[in-house]
Amino acid sequence: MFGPDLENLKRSTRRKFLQQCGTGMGALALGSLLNEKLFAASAKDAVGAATPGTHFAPKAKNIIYLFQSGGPSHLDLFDYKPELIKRNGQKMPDEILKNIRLAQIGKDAALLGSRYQFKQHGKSGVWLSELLPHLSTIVDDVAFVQGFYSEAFNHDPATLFMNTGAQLSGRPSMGSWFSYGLGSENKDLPAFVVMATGAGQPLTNNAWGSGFLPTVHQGVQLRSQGDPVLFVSNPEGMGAERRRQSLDAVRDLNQMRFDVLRDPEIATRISAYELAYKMQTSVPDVMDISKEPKAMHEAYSTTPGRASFANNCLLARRLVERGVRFVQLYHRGWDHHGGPDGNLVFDLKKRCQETDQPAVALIKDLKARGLLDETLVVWGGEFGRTPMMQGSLSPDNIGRDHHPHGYTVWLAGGGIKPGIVHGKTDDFGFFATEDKVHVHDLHATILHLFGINHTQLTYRFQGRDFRLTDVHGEVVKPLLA
Amino acid sequence: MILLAGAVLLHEAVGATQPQVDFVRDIQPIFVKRCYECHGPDKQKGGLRLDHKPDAARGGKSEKPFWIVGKSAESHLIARVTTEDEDDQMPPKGERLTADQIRALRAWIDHGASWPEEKSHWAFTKPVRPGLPAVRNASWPRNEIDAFILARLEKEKLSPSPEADRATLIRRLSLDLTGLPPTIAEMDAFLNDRSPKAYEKVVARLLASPHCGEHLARAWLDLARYADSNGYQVDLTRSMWPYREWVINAFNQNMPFDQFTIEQLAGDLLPNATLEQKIATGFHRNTKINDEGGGDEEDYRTKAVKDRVATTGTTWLGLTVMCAECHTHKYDPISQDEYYRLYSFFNSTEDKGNFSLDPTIAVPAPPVASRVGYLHTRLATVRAELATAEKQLPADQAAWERQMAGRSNLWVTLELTNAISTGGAGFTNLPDQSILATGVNPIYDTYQIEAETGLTNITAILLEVLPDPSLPNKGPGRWGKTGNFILDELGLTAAPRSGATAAPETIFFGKATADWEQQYYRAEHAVDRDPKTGWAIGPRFGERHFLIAELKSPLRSGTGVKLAFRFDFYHGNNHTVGRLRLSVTGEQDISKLWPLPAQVTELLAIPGQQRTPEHKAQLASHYRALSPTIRNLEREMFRLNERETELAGQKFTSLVMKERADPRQTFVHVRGNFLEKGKEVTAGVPAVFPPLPNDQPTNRLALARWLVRADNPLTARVAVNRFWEHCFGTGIVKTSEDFGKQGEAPSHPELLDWLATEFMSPSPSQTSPANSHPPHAWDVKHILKLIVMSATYRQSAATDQERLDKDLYNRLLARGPRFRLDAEMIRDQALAVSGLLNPEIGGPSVYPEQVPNLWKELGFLRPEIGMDEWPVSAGPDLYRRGLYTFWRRVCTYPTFATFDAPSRELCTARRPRSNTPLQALAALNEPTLLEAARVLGQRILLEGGKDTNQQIDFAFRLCTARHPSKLERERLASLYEQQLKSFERDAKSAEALINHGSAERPANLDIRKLAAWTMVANVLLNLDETLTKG
Repeated sequence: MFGPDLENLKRSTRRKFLQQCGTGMGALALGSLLNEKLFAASAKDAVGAATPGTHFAPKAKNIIYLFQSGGPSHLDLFDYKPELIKRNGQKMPDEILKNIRLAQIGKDAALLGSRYQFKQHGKSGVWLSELLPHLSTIVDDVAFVQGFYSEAFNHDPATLFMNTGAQLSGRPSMGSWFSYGLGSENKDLPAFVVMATGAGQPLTNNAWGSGFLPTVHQGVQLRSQGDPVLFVSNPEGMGAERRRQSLDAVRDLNQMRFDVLRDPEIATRISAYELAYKMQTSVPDVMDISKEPKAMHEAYSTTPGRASFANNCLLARRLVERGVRFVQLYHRGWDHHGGPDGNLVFDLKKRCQETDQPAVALIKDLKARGLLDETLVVWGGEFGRTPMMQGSLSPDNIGRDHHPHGYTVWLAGGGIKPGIVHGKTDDFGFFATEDKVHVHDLHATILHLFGINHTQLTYRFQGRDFRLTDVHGEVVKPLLA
Repeated sequence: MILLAGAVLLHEAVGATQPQVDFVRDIQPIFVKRCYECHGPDKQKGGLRLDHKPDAARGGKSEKPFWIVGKSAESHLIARVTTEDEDDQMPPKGERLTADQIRALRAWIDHGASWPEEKSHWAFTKPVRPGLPAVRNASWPRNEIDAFILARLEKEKLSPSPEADRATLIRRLSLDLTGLPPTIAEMDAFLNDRSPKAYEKVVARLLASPHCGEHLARAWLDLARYADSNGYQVDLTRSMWPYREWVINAFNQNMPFDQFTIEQLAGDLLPNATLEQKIATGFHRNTKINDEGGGDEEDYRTKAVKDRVATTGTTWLGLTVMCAECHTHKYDPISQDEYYRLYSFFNSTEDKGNFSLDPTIAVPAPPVASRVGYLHTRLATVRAELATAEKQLPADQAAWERQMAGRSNLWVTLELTNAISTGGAGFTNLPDQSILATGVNPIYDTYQIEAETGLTNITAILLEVLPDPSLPNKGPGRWGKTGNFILDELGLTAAPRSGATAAPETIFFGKATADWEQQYYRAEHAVDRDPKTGWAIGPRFGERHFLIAELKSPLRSGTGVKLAFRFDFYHGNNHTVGRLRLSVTGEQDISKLWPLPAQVTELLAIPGQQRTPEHKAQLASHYRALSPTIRNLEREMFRLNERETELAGQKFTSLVMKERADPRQTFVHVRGNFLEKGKEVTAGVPAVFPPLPNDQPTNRLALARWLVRADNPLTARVAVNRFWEHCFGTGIVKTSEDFGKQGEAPSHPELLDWLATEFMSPSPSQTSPANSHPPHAWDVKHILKLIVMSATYRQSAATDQERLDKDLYNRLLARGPRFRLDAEMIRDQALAVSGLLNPEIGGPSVYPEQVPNLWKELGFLRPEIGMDEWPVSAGPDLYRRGLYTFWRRVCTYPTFATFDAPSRELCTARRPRSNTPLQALAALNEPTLLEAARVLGQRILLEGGKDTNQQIDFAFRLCTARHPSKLERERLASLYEQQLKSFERDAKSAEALINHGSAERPANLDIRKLAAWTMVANVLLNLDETLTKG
């Protein structure tokens, strides 16, 4: 593929070219962007210092993050609170609300016990609401983090906080840290893929942005309509054969120019165009679920060609099968303040119907394929919801406000201890009280599962070494298998 | 797989010979990361303080010196980090220091424990104009710049590269100075100009081009974080383009950089500030504004103030001032107090953190013609279509009349009873069987209205909304401003008339049509069971309108039914219906449902021959209103006219800074938390810098003037470094955003200082008569001219093994600059070479082609503010330069984002320059770039010459400015032949390929040839050379 001059140059800047040509998209662009570091690293190699790698043996290889956007009510799904039910309609004790800022309701809002039936399941005896019939069948594979808490109570900062460890935009998202730190296992697909479904609070693409990391690490959105990846399809009249012919010409002409100028960047561009061509096949191929067996469609409740969380769950499995490092699914519409735009009766039920079965099918499917051990699945929103009611008691107006001080996320696979409940909230489900897990702790733990010490995954920007966990975060050891 | 992140930061080996261990590079980061928490500026456990040399060397309370110079083995520091005794070992928490770190600490102590003083950091001392270094090859330098570059090259035993050929030079110059490629005529003029001043003439022409200001502004707007939206989650739009225009004009007028600085930071505080000077202060109104409910106003306001501090620090001082927000800066001499003293300068303006764009200032409207041009084009098309539709009318009407013969009005009006409003409105029944809402007008409401009918078969409902003098603007809605309403959902249940016990049945609607629909608020929205969408009638208020809702299946009953209607008004803002009437029908033929006024029914009853011309006209006019085609066209015409009026009368504003009458006090935010107030501070500058004058108020104006004072050590250096970076891709200081101790040392420190001093006060030699305009102080174009006139800049970018081995990243500049074009330039170039470019300068943002539904996918469903989807521009606005593209922060224009454009949420000093497969896909397939290939194909056929070789040369020159080599020409010719043959067999594909984009296509072109040339042009636009400035 390359001429003799290029071969020569390849040898002379060996590491750079190994990076560019050998290890896929992330590394390719790194070769170009961080070439100084790489070059320096190779110089360092020559004097025998260790090449940095993962810091210890990883448990997980891939992650599927099921982000439930809007703030699902932990109190109606995971966190059974008989006391809250008993005190339904009363006021929240003052001492709890001291120093608390609330997004929309007042401090005199009445307590609201869940209207849903809870039952215990599995060996951990976790209480789950009747809205999650499917999840209740796999609780022995799941770790419920019930003492989880965050800091922000508005969607925008809270979503950024969950994804980037900072409430203001500008920091890299978790997926881009993974792409930066570990690259992709698949040369023909991006390391970090995002898919979104549902309606409700808008999403902002800085939730999967790369912040100050090179843009190659940003999440690539796979879309359910139009081109799955922007511009991946050939325009009408072009066709694959003609595209290949034109790319041959691009490659030959770039090669001729390289022979004159010998700029290594030209070689990088040649590789980038070749990878682009491969993506034109690999992306539509992975996105086509129509050939999945009927039983699979029934398990996930998928309909090929339709945009749904279920379809995206099945796609997530197909992506990790192909080595995509980080798959993040956003499902919007969990912002249940009450009223026709979102309430705890119709809308919460609907969200559960949309997500419960496919999320559980995904875990079962991963397990059946032997992938669950190396694939971490995370389910959670940017915050939970208040024990106090918002709206009114009528079915289409019952709701709860935003609540970051204590809520539930769950994890499965990828080195997570299965079948446990970790931590708890107080009797009202307000504050996380025991075995609290902060957003930074979750990030530290996730990185740990991938063999990364969260204090050592850093990137220098504006004179400072930044990390996903800022200057905080502890690995939550009891969650580890 | 390599984990790069943990890599020790290694610096390039191009600085002066570096000591083996460098305190700032190797030692201080260990202290900062592992020791400062307990032994730093904020806490000194055991009395030990490691951020300050005298304190550190003295050691802590143990009174042992912390290190003994030259004797690491006896030094306390080494003992504590190496001991195995768990009680003694440092750091006490976390992992032990690595062997490398301990090795570095030992080496540092053994080699003299050198610790440079803060003051002596090069960037904190005022630049002094250095003398020119001696060089051996005295014939090479063309100006002072070259002396510095050559001296260093000679030291490194490298020689400069030969001058690039003229084709390369004119393309390099044009792209650097205007962001656009040269035209063929410009190339030819330069190639044929044999005068010694030929090059300088090109430079002068380009610097004087109005596109120069656009190009320089484009880069500045990254620093200014210019955008057209507010930035947080909801991300509503704002009108900020007058500020963008101000920047373009300032560069085009070559406004001195000191004035440029002062007007942007404090134009409003200048005596008798002009409109322009006020617009300039938009620089610091580019901060984000929160549009999400529940946010703390003060939280967002203080975030904006902090952004102003950070941005000012990066843009003018090249310092990471923001690091001192939560604690004293760990490397540079900026204490947390000093941070809040800077904060205080920006803390007393009137703007708010939530919802409000105020204060804004009215600006003159841009010329209307440029804004309404596309409307006129579309209007002409609509008129033509209308004329065609009208020709068909008489025949259609005759058919309709036959159909309607003998029918009276199909609708039975209902007697409405038991109307209640859950929000508390009252109702009055009127004689015409309509019902009028009165009294309270709640924000949200639901009406329930009942009726009975003997009709045993109901197929559709007619809802008439009627004007009434009691309603605002006569209604028919109750919204106070206009008389509009939004009917989010129309619900219906039915129960048999007899047998009152039966449960009511929910009736579903199929289709809905209306005589008039507001844009985005269509009739079907009232029956789609989605409470978030609804029907509205703006801007045709004060008139009767109606909606026909067809039942999904006919409602049949033995003796008629009791009907219960439900009208949901969820939208808020009192958008309820004021007066309404309901009718039902059993008609099966939906084409007949349009309600006939009694008068029309009468007219229809008159036999054709007996109708007077007046009768005929009335009937025709009624039928015309029935035709959906005509209705739609008329509605579009109405909207186009309305839009034109709206545009003509549009008021334009820009966000500006304005001081409060009553200044705020400023307190330190403890750990950066705005709720936790520390001590009070007053406005001031960090002590490491020269102080502010005593005789002026310490306000933004004083700060701005201080930034551009001759003794400010940073502003001029930071600015000239940026111009250098603009031309060479990398600054003399590579970290152009950070001149502090953690930034990289300059590759050519004397050159940097020479340029900085030359910027502030040009030397007399530069005012020679050879320059038509003698340079003034802070003359931006003078510095740019110096750079591009240098021999350094004019070198060929070709490289070889020796140069790569010695200087892979070209920091020493033994060859010319070569790097990928910025995102906007890739678009602009493609438009320019194809001839599509609309070179208009300034004005509001435009919406070029973007993939449909991107905003919708993210959930931006705000039709009421016209922001649910990218409103694609029409006509010439599709082909404006990239810097005019509407910049929505949470959804950056995808092609730009792919090519490393920032989101503009924060100040960006340097864009990364990546090289990725997604970029390849965009360059190959993005609609505008593909359209440009097609139109370039047309140009090749029309202007390219007689034969394939000439045509290839023409296109190749347009894209790269040079003639192709023989091999290159042959390769392209074989591509063309191959494609031509293939399209000759496949005319369908040819037709499809040349149909992309809305730009005109001359009718007389051979479509197969055009398709083949489109392929060639697509290849040319994707060459590395085309995408790169070389």
